[in-house]
Amino acid sequence: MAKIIGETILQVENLQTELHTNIGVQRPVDGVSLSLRQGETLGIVGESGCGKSMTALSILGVVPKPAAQVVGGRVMFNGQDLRTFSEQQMRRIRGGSISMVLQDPQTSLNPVYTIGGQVTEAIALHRDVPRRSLMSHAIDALRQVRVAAPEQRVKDYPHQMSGGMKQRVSGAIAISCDPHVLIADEPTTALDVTIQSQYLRLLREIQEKTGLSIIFITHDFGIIANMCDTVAVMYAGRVVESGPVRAIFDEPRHPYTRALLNSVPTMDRHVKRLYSIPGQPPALWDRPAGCWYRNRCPFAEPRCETQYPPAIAAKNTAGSNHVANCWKLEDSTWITPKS
Amino acid sequence: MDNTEILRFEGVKKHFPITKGVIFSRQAGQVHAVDGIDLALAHGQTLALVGESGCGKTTTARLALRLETPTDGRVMVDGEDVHQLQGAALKRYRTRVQAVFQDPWSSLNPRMRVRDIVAETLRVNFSLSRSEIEQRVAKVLLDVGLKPEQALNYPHEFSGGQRQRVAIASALISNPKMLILDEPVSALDVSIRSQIMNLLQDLQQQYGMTYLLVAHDLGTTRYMADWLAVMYLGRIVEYATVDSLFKEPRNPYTKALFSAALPDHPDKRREEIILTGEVPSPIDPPSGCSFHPRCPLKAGSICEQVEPKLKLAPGTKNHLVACHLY
Ligand SMILES: Nc1ncnc2c1ncn2[C@@H]1O[C@H](COP(=O)(O)OP(=O)(O)OP(=O)(O)O)[C@@H](O)[C@H]1O
Ligand SMILES: Nc1ncnc2c1ncn2[C@@H]1O[C@H](COP(=O)(O)OP(=O)(O)OP(=O)(O)O)[C@@H](O)[C@H]1O
Ligand SMILES: [Mg+2]
Ligand SMILES: [Mg+2]
Repeated sequence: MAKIIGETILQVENLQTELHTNIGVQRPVDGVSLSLRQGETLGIVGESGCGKSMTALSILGVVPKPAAQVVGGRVMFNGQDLRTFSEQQMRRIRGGSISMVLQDPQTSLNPVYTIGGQVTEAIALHRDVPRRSLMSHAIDALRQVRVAAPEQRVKDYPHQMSGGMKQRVSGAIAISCDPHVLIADEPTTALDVTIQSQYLRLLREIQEKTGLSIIFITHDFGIIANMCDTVAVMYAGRVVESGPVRAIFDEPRHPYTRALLNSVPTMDRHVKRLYSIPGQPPALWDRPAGCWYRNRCPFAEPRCETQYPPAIAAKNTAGSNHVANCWKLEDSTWITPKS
Repeated sequence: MDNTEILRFEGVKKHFPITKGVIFSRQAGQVHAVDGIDLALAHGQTLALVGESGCGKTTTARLALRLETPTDGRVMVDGEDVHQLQGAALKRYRTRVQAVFQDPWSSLNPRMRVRDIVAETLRVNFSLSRSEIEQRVAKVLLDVGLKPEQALNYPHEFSGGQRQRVAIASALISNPKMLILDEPVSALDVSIRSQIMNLLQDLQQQYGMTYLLVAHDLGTTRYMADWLAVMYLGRIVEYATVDSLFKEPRNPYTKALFSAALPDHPDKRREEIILTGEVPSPIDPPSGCSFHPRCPLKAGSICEQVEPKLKLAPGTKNHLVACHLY
């Protein structure tokens, strides 16, 4: 597989997003930093509610209003801070240089317009294409995502397509404007294995051809293993470990990362007993003092109860940017044991 | 736990009519959702159904639950044809076979307290006193890892994983012998998934229950099941123990399906068998072996003409495969 990874294209620094609720102000995104290079795929994993989608929406400045608001941090894209951009400038970025596939394909396609209408609209908005050739561009875009007989399909409405096909159409819309960065929020959860694998193969092909950078949000470690170069593990609104994909799988430093990996059954061998993380993540308004994972952590020590651990670099053979927020890393040989 | 059979499908078909026209509706065809299934499952075992979307897994589960009536064939539970049951025998069946479905958000009535949701089967099928019901509810809530005090709460006060626990509790309340589980964990996130899978394993151990499990995630089926049935267009194309099937799948369709599953480590690569063409329509399934138009290993014209029957794969004791290569 020929894949070339270039310079950093998107750098998220200490991003903070607040949520105003009737029980007070909360922080679903609480100091998230991420880094994405050209042609690279970054996976974001973590339990439901840990802030993955909110992070993606915060990057694009489309958090649910008025309840949520990005309140701090920088989103550096090609050397400019997107947080300083006007709404009009951001509109040009969204669906232009940075495009997003939403968690639910039903919501991203409009049921009252034809597929062709929606794809041409996306192209017209962001590319300089003469009106009369819009439709042929749309047909090309659909062909690119392997929609069979795209000349016919452009006349269809979303309800006339299967779930897998709708997913591919939203994919076509997202990439029809030749974005530099694609943020895909669980684009394949509704798909069965065969169609999922087709969709992922397609994304990889497009990436190889265009050097697209991808942020892939998912619960699925199979997707992480197969698609991602780097991984950020989120817990309760913060990144708790990040690093190259192999380091995350082979030498996870944060006990939470290991716990997640051990919770997933594999078809490759029989496991007698799966690990389950006891309890649940803390509620946004009820984060404990010290490390937020400590109540569920088998390795917690007294100081975990008082001080939130800083990001500590893992000293490993890969010599990489592998870091985790866990006091255990003060012992530089620490790797979270298998069980 | 005994080894006798609890569930049996004999030549079961379910065809849904497709009607056209509003006033003078006429039948325009049939969806062959389930198209001739034979299977048998022993007490205390777990059988998983796998296959592409639309291959008939849910319809098979609904037939065992009496939510669908077969077009042909019989579904037997404990030696009785479930679609012929009446009176006391039907009541007994309703307490012995229970179900848990995929969606913990919509399967619970939002206006009912957990106590009433969980007790429903008891109230309908048994005449028990209030305090007997309350004791039983408290017991099953403990069984699924909830607190008896939570009986007074409403579903919206629970997380997704907790709601699935409530759904399992209401299935357990009548001491069932068999649970039909249709994608019980696929709407849940990784950590809750493993909690629920472990809970189901423990309950099966504790009460010797039989599970019929529908799951599209192959890792889940390997972890949960003893037996695996691979379905394609309404038929079982391979049927064996989980270990035998994952070790050596025989049917070309099973091989392709397994090869599409994502490996669990970045260094592992699977040689993916890419199937060309869309899934054929169950309205007009192909002749002979219904997989022949997509099969990369087609044996010859026999595949287009003769429907392969499930038979023992050579050199095995209980690995069944429907394919002309064997
Ligand atoms: N529109 C909203 N109003 C109020 N709270 C919200 C809203 N959207 C998200 N939240 C809260 O923000 C937190 C982060 O949610 P987010 O959707 O980012 O989680 P996630 O990691 O994407 O989860 P999932 O895996 O379930 O998609 C959660 O506690 C959630 O309840
Ligand atoms: N009530 C019905 N009327 C008409 N067709 C139906 C009905 N129920 C199911 N079908 C069709 O029968 C076939 C099998 O459906 P079924 O729901 O059993 O598939 P499945 O294997 O459970 O799929 P999935 O993995 O998507 O849940 C499909 O083609 C479906 O569209
Ligand atoms: Mg999300
Ligand atoms: Mg189904």
